[in-house]
Amino acid sequence: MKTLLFKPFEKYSEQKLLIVGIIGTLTGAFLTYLFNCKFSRALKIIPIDDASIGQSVINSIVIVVCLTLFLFIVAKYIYKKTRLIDIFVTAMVAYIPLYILTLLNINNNLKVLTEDAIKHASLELANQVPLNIHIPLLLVRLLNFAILAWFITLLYNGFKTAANAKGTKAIVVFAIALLLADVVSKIVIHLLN
Amino acid sequence: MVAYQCYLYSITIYNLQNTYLSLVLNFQSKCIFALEISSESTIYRHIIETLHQMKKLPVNCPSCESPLVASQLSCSDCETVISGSYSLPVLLQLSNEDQDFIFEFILTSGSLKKMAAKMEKSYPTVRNKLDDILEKINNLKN
Repeated sequence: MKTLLFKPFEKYSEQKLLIVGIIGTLTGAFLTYLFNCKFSRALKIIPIDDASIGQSVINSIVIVVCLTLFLFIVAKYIYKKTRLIDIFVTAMVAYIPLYILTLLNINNNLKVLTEDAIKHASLELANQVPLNIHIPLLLVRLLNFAILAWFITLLYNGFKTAANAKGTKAIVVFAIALLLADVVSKIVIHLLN
Repeated sequence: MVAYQCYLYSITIYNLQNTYLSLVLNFQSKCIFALEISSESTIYRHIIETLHQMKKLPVNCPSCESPLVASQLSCSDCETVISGSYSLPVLLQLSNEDQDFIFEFILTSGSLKKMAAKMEKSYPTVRNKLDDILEKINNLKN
């Protein structure tokens, strides 16, 4: 189970992972549309009013392509034999858990919660945030953190397997690639939407 | 073939082309029981692992960690003994796991894809293992 959740790239062939990745990405894009969410960049999801299926699919593709591109560049830098397919399936499969976050916006719950929280955003009202906003917000943050940690763990394990990465250098280049993918995906999504 | 003897009884294990094991239990050199175990079974793996542990060739001195050398070789038939100082081949200095990997690599004609399918691992995992072994061999050669 641990292998399946955190290290599937060590065990399963690229064909199986590719199928899971494509199905997961398309399902995730559909969930993003269904629950009115938008991945505005690789590491950020926001609730919106008018999600479209086309936009959701394009955003998912942009994010996967950005992650693949930057991770592949740094992977080639540290290990010449790295294959593009391994990095591509890593990006797709690792991103699947993040689509779970779209479920938080069933019936626009997340949007309503965010708007309520914004009302209390001023300094005077900051100490008077009611519990019915405070506790769900805390749970959302915890879930966000857990899912993000899962995504990064999966992504790093896939990167490590694809690029035979070891040591501090691998962690540093991985972090740089992830941050670059996040920034570039934000710019590309902004231009396309 | 590996043989273990204990007074009147002996067990001989034949590892036939890595496809199955044949266990033969002898009493006073006469076969009283024989069993064949397929390489697909779990017990096959356990037996192979146990044999490897039992027959593990020490490559470093347990006292000072320096590499050991073979100082005596003997003929199992005529009991001729040759003394000298022969350094162990690089491959023998690798762990049993690495030696098994190289053995499998040869058996699959060097196809990492076939090995990955056989070992139920992904292609990059098997390729990384091979690269790690190559690195160890280069270190041992140097």
